[in-house]
Amino acid sequence: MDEKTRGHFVRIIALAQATFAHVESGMDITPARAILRLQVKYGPYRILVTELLSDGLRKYSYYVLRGNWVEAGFDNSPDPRAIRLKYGQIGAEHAGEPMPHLHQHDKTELSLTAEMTFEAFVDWVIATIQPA
Amino acid sequence: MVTVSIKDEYAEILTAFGELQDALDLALKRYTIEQIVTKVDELRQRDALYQAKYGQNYPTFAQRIAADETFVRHVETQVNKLWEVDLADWEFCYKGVQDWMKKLEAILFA
Repeated sequence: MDEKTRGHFVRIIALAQATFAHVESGMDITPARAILRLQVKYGPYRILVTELLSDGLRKYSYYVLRGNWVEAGFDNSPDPRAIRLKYGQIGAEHAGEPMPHLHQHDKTELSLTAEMTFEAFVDWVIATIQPA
Repeated sequence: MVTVSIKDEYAEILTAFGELQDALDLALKRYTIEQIVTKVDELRQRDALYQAKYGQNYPTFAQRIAADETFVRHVETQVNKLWEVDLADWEFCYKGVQDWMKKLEAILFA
């Protein structure tokens, strides 16, 4: 893992440790990609974080769960619902395109977002979700 | 080129078998191959778990989940509501096997 990638992941873990409780994390690499998996507790909530650096892209998912209920989930997967929301249709020209979006209300509501970072996600969680 | 130190006891023994540099190169090559094979095996096992969970291989799943809303709803209600988390890890496993195999071939046929 190159120093830049390691530093990026280490900063995420450090921020998680400073903000949340019961932080569990794991990193893995191949010669061409790297992944960080992280799980924390925030009051009654469980937060799952994944960052995959692959093919020149940063693919992320930041999810806040209460039991099995998805309180909020930011990710940039090529979800066809998000692609339709942005372009009005799902054509071959946009299939597979990373699409930053937010799931809420147990994934029954979806909205488009700007590209999210873990730092911005932490700010959002603190401002939006009460841990008690 | 990176310089590392070797314990005297190993250097003495290996020198008895021939050139120290040749012995170290061979030992490192064997160790590296062993580590890569172990990693590939681990990634393949995880890839197989995801294939069993979603009933298809990674390329098929990645293509369908990115294009078919009905399929997405089916996955979320019947298999895993948080498929996005699996998708990233599955990509890492599937493509990671290819990454390591390329590295293995480069070492074996260098």
